[in-house]
This record gives sequence, C-alpha cells and structure tokens, in this order.
Amino acid sequence: MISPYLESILIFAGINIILALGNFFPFSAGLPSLGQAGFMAVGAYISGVLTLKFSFPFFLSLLAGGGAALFVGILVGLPVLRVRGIYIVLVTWAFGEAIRVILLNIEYVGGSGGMGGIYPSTTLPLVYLIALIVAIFSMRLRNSRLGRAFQALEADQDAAESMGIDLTKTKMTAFSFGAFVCGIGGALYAHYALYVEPSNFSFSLSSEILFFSIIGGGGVFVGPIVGAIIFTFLPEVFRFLKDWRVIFFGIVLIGMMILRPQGIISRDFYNRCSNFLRSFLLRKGLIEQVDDH
Amino acid sequence: MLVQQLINGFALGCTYSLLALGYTLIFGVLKILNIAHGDVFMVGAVIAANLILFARANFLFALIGSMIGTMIVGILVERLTIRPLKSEGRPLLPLPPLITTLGAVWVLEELVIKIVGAQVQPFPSLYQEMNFNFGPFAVSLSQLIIIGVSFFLMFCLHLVVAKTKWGKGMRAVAENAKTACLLGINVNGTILITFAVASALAGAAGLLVGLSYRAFSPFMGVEIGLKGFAVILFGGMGNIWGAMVGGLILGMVEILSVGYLASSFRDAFAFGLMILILLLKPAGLFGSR
Amino acid sequence: MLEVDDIYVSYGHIDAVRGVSFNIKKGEIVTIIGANGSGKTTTINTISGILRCKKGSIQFLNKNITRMAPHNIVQLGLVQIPEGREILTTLSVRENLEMGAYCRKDKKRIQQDLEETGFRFPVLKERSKQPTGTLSGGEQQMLAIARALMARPQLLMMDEPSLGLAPLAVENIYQMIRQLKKEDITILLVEQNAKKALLTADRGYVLESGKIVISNDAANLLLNDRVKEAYLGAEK
Repeated sequence: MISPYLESILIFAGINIILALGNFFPFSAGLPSLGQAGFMAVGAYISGVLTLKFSFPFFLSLLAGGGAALFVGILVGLPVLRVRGIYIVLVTWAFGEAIRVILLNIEYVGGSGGMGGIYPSTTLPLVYLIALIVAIFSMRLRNSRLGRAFQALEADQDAAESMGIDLTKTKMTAFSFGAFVCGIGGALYAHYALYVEPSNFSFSLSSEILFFSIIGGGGVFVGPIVGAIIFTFLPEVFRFLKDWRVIFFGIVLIGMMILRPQGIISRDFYNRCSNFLRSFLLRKGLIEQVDDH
Repeated sequence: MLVQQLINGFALGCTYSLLALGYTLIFGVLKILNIAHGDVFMVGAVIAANLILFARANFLFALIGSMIGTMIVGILVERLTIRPLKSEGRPLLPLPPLITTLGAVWVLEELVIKIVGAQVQPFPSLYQEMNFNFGPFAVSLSQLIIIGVSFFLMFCLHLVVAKTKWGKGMRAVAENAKTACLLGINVNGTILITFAVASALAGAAGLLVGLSYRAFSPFMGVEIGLKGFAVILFGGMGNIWGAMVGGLILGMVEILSVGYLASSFRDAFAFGLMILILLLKPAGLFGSR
Repeated sequence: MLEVDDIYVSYGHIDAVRGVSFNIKKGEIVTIIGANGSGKTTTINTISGILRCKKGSIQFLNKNITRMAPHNIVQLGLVQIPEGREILTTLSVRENLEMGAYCRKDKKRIQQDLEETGFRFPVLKERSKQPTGTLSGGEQQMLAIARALMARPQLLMMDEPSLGLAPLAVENIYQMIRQLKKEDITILLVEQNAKKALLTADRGYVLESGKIVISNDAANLLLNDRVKEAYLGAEK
C-alpha cells in the first residue's frame, strides 16, 4: 500500500492529466483557452450538488457534471467561433472568470463559503482509468478525420476552410470535447477534495492547465500529459526551494518560451520517437509492417 | 445622488485610463498583451509608499520616483521577457509573450512579497483628506489630485505622441513595423521607449491609487490588470483615445453599479463589458478592424 | 557602390536565396527580374537588413552592412521602396513625406526638401494634408518614391514598382525613374514586368529559384532567347 501522501499526489497528477487533455482538444485546433477552470468548476459543482443534495449515484453525477460542462462549453464556444488569435484567449478568460463570479453569488451552492461534505468517491484506479480512456481517445483522434481537421485548423484557418473543412462544426466539437473532459476532471476533483469553493477555479488554475500543453508540448497529446506530470511533481521535487519556488518557476517559464517554445514533447520529437519505436519493434518481429495511408 | 456617483466614478476611471494607456501603447507597437503591466503598476505603488515612508518624499518626489522606478522595471520586463522572443523578419506570435509576461508576473509578485510581505498595508498619507463642496456635490482632495495629475499626464502623452520624433516613430511602428524599419526608424529602440513611457504611466497610477485607497498590496496588480484589459478591448486595442475614454467610462459604470446594484457585481462589470464587446464589436468602440 | 557576395538566405528549412552575387555601380540602373517566388523580395529585404543571410556578405559604399541594423542601413543612404508601396495610412500625405526624412538630422534642409523633392509631384502638393486613403495606386507609388527621396538616398531599391498599376501609371513611374537617373541616383529595380525594366535599366540579372542564372547588359537580355521566352512573352 502506498502512503496517503503519495496517493494524494498521484491522484492530483491523474486529474491534472485529464484536465490537460481537456485543454488540449481546443488547443490543438488552434483555440488556446484560458477558461478551462470554469468548465472544471461547472463539473465540480453540478456533480457535487447531485451527489450531496440529490443522492445521485456517483457515476451518474460524474457524467452529469461532464454533460453540464459540455453544455456551458457550447454556450461559450459560440462567441469563441467569431474571434481569432489573442481574442480567443481573452474571451475564454472572461468567461472563465464570469463563471467563477456567478458561482460566488449563488447561495444555494454556498457562495463564497463554498460547498463541503461531498462524498469521497474518487479513487486512484478510477482517476487513472478515466485518464487512460481520454488518452487513448486522443491518440485515436489524432489519426482520424476530425483530428486532421483540428491540425489543419491550427496551422492555417483560412486554408483549412478553403479545403472544405466546416469551421463551425470543427471548432465547436473541439471546444465542447475540451469542456466535457474538464468537467469530468472537476467532478473527480470535487469528490476527492470533498470541498469546493469558487476561488479554487481561478485564472491561475486556468493558466496552469494551459501551461500543461504549452510547456509539455502542444503539438501532440503526449505533451500535455508530460506537462501535467511535471507540473504536479515538480513543486514536490523542488520543495527545498521553499518560497523561492514561484520565482524559480517563473524564470523556468520564461526560459522555456525563449529556448524551446514548442514545448518538451514537440511534434517533431514525438514523430521521431514513434518512428524509432516502430522500426525497432519491426526488426524484432513484434509487429507487422502496415502500410501508411 | 447620480452626479456624485459620476464624480466618484470619474476619478476612479482616471486611474483605469492611465493603466489602460500603458496597455494600449504596448499593444500598438508590439501587438501583444503585456500581462506584467498590472504588476508594474503595483511596483509603482510600492516604490511610492516606501519613498514616502523612508525618504520623507513629498508628492512630487514620490510621483517622479515611482515613475522612474517603474520605467526601469518595465524596461527590464521588455528586455528579459519580450525582446528575446523576437526573431527577425517575422512578427511576434501572440502566445509566447503571454506566457513569458505571466512568468514575469509570478517573479515580480514574489519578489515584492519577499521585500514588503504579502498582506495589504496602509499607504502613508501625504495630506489631510478634505472635501470641497460645490453645491450639492463634494469632491475630495484625493479625487482632485487624481483627476488633475491624470489629465496632466494624458495631455503630456498626447503632445509627446503627436509631436516628438519618438511619437511619430511609434505611430509608424504601430501601423507597420516593417515599413517603419525601411524608413530608418529604430524599431527596437522605439519599442523600448514605448515600454518606458507605458510603465511610467503605470507607476503614476500606482501612486494615485495608493493614495486614494490608503492601501497597497502585492496583489493589487492582478485585479486592476483585468480591468485594464477590459478597457482597451472596449476602446480598441492600440487606440489611445479609446483607452482614455474607456477607462473613464468603466470607472463610472462600476461606481454606478455599486450604487444601484449589489456591490459584489462591481468586478463582474469589467468581465461583462469584455464579453459584451467581444461578442458585439471585437474591434472595440473606436477600433477599426 | 553595392556588392552582394554569395548570400544564402532561408526561412526555416526553406532556402529562398542560394548563392546570389551581384554588384551595382554608381549612377547605374540595375534590374533583377524573375518570377514570383524566385527570391527577389527576399534578396532585397536581406540587403535592407530586415532578413539575415546565413552565409555571404554585403558591402555598401565600402562598408560591411551584412549584420547592420536596418535603420542604420537607411542612414547610410540605402533606401528601399517596398512591394505594395506600404504607405502609412494613419498619417497624412505630408506626414508620410516627413517620415521619409526620419533619420536625417538637418531640420532646415528637410523643410526645403519637402518643397522641392516632396512636392515635385503636383498631385502630392495638392493633397498634402489629406489622409492617404484618397490616393490612387499610381499616386501612392509617387508618394512612396517621394518619401524615399526625402531620405536623400544614394541607392534606391524599388520592389515591383509597377505592381497593380494601370499602364499609364506604370509609364509615369518609369519616366520618373529615368528622371532620377539623370539626377545621379543609383537604382536597383526588382521587377516581374521584365520588359519595362529591361528597357529602362543599364544592366540586368535574372533570378530563378534563388539563383542568378543570367547576367548581362539590359540590351542584350532583351535579345536573349531564354529571357524572351520566359519573361517577355515572345511568340514562337
């Protein structure tokens, strides 16, 4: 059995992985979102309310949390459709904060005092199961038609449109996937922390989630996963820095952007690794030659 | 009393305008949002407070001191977090500077916390607060100072942008950096001076806000930072008049909302405004895109 | 006056210019012709300092300008009129002209020059306070040239001056170019409109895929079969 401390970190890492992938969906379609904490909040609160006040079974409220986040995601996605570039960041930021402020004013869920006493339904295996499902989904998505549409959008929106890609549908899909997954992440968080308040879901959390993709590498789904893991474990590893930690991370952030803006796992790096792996396994006769399409 | 609220809002709005001007100047020449600008404002307040407390500075000294101090900090931010991102011939992508300036925010805030502590602290007072009555309305001394200094600075800025070599160069760079290069304008130097001017304005705003709220803290930058964004979005990013007018409008709207609606909605107004503008006219009220 | 020696310029992995060398002597009009994407604008932007070459060197007036900052290059007297003219629309006609003299320090002569040089185009003089949006394509090109002249250039580089202009306007521009030559201004003309360019220039270079494939006197290039076929629309 592992220590509660380690278990706690692992669960946070798992939830962060889910959130990171949740941010990755819109990010990989060229929609960098600074509002994912808002969707997380929706998932957390809705699922919390359902289990706490309506005694819903956990899995149902988990899905309902995700579903509610999905719904909000569609609402937020509408204005996001109409803007480009830096404005997307601003719109998502504004909405993320708006959600937080709205929650702050709803007495039913405790307002600024938050909502507590949520049943501890989140377990380590569950978190990683869900993380695995989302990760596999991301992997399959990459080679699918939709995934390629995302990549085209990210590279050049106008070119993608002239190739016949339905911008509205694609962007909306990317955005709602992201909202749904972040909602699930939020629900898992709520049932682990047992207490949620609006200030948990602030701009700093949204920016952290965005960092998972940016530092880990936004070109490929492995990047955000790596980013999430690093972000969760790094503060522990650097605990000895004490209150110089934040300054250190700030400098690392700046340094990364200057020296390696494509993130740790760049698309290039991933391709080279997987090609190497594939040819290695081929030579060992462990897999068969498959024609690339 | 409506007019009284408007006066209060106007004074508040002046500080927003000063801050928004900084954002808009920087956006104009670099086409990026400098998230660290709000913290430069905060540093201004901290410097001013310390100058008054420990150097017995009077208003003018504190003002000049904080403006110079923030100028230096602003230049450092530009040199360390933005300049290294530029690669020749290609314009800056929007995302990396966002990240690096965010990193700068972390560093600045933590450094300030180390030096002055994390709590809200009282801002030393420089004068006896008093009210001037104009018939049924009252204007406090603080408000008069804020409005006076802000308008003076904005007027100076207007002159500088319209008449000086830097000002003309800045306008050229803001429109088309490559052509500005070809005209012999030192683009990097112009950007540096723009940062210096923008930061100095933020420093002044820091002093003014500190004086009128009688408090300062390392976290005051983040709050007002968002308001600054809302203002430039509203007024048009890169548009100087938009920043000035937008700030005043936001100030008045906020105070009116506190007076006529619940006070917890006050901050929501900045967001609400942002969202509304982004939905209806993303280029801002005075924007042109 | 200008010596470009074996420069290589690339955008990321794409090599746009691969080993280009040429020179320009004082008082000449030299033209570089080539199709779209052949590397003309890349070359001219590298000379202006906006892009950096990986290899090679550029000398202007016997000074090494390979690594010089763009604004310093302009101060030496090497002025580019970019493709598409790039007039500053937030400034009036007069202010655009004044911007041309940005790096000059002699205030009095700038005023004088404004009258002589800037307003040698009567159209510009008429519209001096107007915003530039009211100018036609040809007039904008005149403004761009006048603006460049305000910098008192030793070498004027023009990137596709005839682009998007009606034939009459093009003729006006080229008359202007010939006039400038008489005033002892050296000119580098980068053009897709090969015929006009070769009729006006003294010497020419043909650029294809980032390399210079032919270099000769302009008169000879006009008679060259390859040039005729590819660039002059000759009938077979």
